[in-house]
Amino acid sequence: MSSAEIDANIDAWQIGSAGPPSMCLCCGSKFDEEKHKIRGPYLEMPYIWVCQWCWEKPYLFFPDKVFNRNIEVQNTQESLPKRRGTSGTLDFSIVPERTLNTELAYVKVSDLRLDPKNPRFRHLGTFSNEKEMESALWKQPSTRTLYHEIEYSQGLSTPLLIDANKVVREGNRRLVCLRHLIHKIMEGDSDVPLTKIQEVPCFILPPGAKEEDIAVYLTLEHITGKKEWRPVNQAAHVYDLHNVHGLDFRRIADIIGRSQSYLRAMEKAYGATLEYHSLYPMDDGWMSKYSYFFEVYRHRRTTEWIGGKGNLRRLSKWINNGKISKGAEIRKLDLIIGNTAVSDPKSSDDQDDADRRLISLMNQTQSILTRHSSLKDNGELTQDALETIESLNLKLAKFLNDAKKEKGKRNKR
Amino acid sequence: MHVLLIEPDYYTRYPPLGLLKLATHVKQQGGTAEYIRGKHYPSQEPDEIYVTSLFSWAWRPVWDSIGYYRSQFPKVPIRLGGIYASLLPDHARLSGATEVHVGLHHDAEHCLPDYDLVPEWDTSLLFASRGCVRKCGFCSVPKLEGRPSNLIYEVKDLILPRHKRVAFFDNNILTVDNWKQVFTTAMNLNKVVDFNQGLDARAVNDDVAETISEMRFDLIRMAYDFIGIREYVKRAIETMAKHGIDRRKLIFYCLYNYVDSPEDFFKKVKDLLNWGAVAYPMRFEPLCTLEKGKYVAPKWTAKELEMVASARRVIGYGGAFPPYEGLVKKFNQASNFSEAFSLWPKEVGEAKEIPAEGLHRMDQEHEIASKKVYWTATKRKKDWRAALT
Repeated sequence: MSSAEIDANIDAWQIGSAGPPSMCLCCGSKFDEEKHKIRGPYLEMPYIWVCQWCWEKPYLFFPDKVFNRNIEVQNTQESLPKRRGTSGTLDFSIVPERTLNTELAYVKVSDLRLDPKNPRFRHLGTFSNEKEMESALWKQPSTRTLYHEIEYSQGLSTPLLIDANKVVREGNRRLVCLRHLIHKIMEGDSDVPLTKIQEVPCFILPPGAKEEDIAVYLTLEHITGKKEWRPVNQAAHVYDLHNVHGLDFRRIADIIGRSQSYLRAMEKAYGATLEYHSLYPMDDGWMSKYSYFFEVYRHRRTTEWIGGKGNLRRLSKWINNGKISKGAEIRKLDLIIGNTAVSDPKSSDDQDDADRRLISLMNQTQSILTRHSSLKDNGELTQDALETIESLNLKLAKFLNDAKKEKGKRNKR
Repeated sequence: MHVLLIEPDYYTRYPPLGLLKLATHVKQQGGTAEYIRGKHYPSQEPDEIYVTSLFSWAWRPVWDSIGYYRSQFPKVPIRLGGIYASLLPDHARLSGATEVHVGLHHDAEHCLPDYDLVPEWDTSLLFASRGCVRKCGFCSVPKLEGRPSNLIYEVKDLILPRHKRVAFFDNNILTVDNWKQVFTTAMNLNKVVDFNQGLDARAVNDDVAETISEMRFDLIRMAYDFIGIREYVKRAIETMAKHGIDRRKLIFYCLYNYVDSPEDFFKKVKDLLNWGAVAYPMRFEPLCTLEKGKYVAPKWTAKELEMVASARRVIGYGGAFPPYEGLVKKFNQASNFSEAFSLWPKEVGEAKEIPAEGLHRMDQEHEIASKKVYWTATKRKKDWRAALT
């Protein structure tokens, strides 16, 4: 290749700096009057001039896609559902032998109601009216993100699932976002055309749809699907499938694709969380304690321990009074379980005291180490402190060694 | 004044240089700065919040962070800057930020990054120049930084003595006047150097190769973006090799899925393998994309892109194609793209159409795999972020 040819090739790939170029700077196609018709200028964008083909890609951003009111005419919203005439149908496969037959229709947002039984609300507490539910959902950061997406897309990309009474069974966050967006439009704070969102596509469940089928559908969507619920919401749902809808774990495992032992741990942990709530009804954050119990039921040793008389009550107490403040500390329960004085339910007075001391010691040690780490980083750790830590380390090692030997002897016997 | 510096929770291997510089700037003004990655409640209520951003497709974590801090501190101004904000300011304005800052923060640009905020990080990051002499259509630098500017000749003060490494983020340092002085400083300080944004193969000559051969480095990055620079790439490799630089330490980013064709890409990889260098395929993403891995260029198909992805995973090493004997042989025996990148001859033409999400996921997997290898290559075992959590 000659030098001139190389230069010519290089120039063919460069951005022309004077005037509109002859080709689209995004895809490299020559501008024409049809598919690659020139668009622009976009003075604040990386591509000042682009072709229609690129502009129409739903995932490429151009400012006039958001604000131009003629977007539908220009057929750019490829990812949005095409507005169907009056209705359509869709069957959701629940299990191989059964489907949920739904009707697709556009429904007014003002007619839709939030679902107070939706598992998504459980961790947010109980509500006396719909306004409170809406407010609680709106406070969640993920709802705000969804709101921006809906505003940017000027509508929903997936229809809501509603029952015959127009209660939203799937898509409560989206409904909250739509209500806020409509409010914003009415206030004149958004350029989204009201006509685009005042009616939204919904799959309407038949009047006689079984609650069990709806529950299974929600499982598929939110436990195995892409829009995962929080672990506690998932557990609540598994708990309901088993205890309310009567599905055995084998069946739930088939639906969700998780092991039965994992699902049992979820179900038991949620049951324990409910018991915790009955013990400490004043704790507003009771749902967040699920992770502690799940951690317990994940391991055989701790599961056996919590089955002991009074141990669930005992653990609940530690969690409630802050003796255990992190899920990770549950893993240290081994230290307590290994202590025969503690695991013996008869010696409950001494036991509580021993537990308190041990957990307090763990917390103190952690705090001392954190403080000394910063001293170490700053080069301020004294020789005395080092020697004290070393001596403590030796004592602990000796204690552990003796304890292991003792345990070995006992096992042999 | 207490300023929160927020790095949204997207994937990146590097600390946010802009925020670290801003931290220094704030402290120079008598304020305090707190760096947070993701969404965590700060140690005290801030007076201002700065949020940075990275690639345009990583906009969701940015919006998410802004939504979170907006809900926590409704009256505190939130300023959004960084690459995404500068490339797509109109989109960034929809995030809920009070202000979108386009381009560099000129007051903070010349501040030394506040590395105390990232104590485990062991590399000095710096720009000895901004901008680039080229105007490549696939690159955001001409838009973000324009022509070369802000040349710094004395970089010694920007390299921390405790840091073992120095990473130059210059976009085309070899084409500006201060390159030799900068290289010599790094060499004299005996630091391991990483020209992070790559060196321009067209600007490599004996002087450059000789200087680099005397430096400490793990690998040298360059680019073979289009077939038109073939002779320059070949010359760069030969020149580097003449000065004793191992060809396998030369990694060339090979752009594909832009205005090239699969056959062009095949030729580029084949060239590099025959010249003894490493080819690292780099898939083009439009500068205004909001989703990674969705764009399929006019001369490519989803199937062909998937073939590249699969080949990187199966016959590549860490997402790259090193000049291993078997690979060189495979590419030399292939007469076209399809033969070179098909993994099992029986399946040629039978590959399933991969959905966009699949490609996206696949691409992420490669990215992770390649990063792991780079991690090993640079012999860095500690995760600097561990200290922050």
